[in-house]
Amino acid sequence: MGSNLMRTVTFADLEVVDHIKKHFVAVWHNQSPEVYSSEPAQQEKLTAEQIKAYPQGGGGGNVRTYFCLPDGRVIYYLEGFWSKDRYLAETDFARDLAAKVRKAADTEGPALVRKALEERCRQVADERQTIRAKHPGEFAGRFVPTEVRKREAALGLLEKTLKTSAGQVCQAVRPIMDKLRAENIRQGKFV
Amino acid sequence: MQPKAFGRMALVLGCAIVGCLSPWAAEAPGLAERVRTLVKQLDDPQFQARQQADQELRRLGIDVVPHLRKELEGKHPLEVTRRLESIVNELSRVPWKTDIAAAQAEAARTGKPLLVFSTIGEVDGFA
Repeated sequence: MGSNLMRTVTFADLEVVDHIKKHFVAVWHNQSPEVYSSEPAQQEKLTAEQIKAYPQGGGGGNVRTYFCLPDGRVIYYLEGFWSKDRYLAETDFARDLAAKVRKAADTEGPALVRKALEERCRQVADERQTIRAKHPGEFAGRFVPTEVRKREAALGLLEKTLKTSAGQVCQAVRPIMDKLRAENIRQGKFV
Repeated sequence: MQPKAFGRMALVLGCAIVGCLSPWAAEAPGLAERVRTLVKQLDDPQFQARQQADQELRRLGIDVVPHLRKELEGKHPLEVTRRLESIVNELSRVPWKTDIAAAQAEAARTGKPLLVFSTIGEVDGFA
């Protein structure tokens, strides 16, 4: 469903479309073409309630965005479904980072990226902390999916994906995609 | 004026101002009229005129999409409808590449970073 939501919600938003067209070269990678072909299919129509209920950051490794330098080296990995506002914020972060790396010397690139990711991770952690501090009652007791809890949980997933990014900094994206596909076949996923 | 009513009015006014200041809210003046003219031209007896209108609408870019979607709610000759659908389809979709090597070549040429979206299935869904 996360994948479906990215197709039909985030990537259908005109502001997102315009932003990606202006600032990126966009690539669509099918994680499992052996099973899922290029024939168009009917997309499940999602209700407004279903869309609203689906968690930001949901979908896991089935929904991945890799932001890369023009030569294909990864600088930021974003996992999961994100609606327009958060997705645009993350694309802006990635774009600024790419611009900084291009200006820096080759040898400085990886360290610069790692530092930027760490800083962003700290910002996100602070944002989570602020939410918890503002709404202590919401975090006492068992989890109830209020808007506050969902927002904090989404930031938790964002923090996690930022940490995952650090392990892929400046790796070439193509081998990552090939490895992912091979792993899916090996595990018999989607067969 | 009652304080509550004043507060609501200030909130609505504030939202309206912010909405107008948003870069996405700004549309070129006269665009709606230009689009209407070009849509009429899509039904011109001369093929050249129809082609020109088609190309101009594409050139105007993504801002025309809401106007064209509204036009599609009305009745038009088949060719006009097909052209409108084609233009909306082109303008409202991310131009995804499926070949990373080709994308890298374009990125190297333009200087733009890559955005690689990896998921199950193809752009239009999965069979």
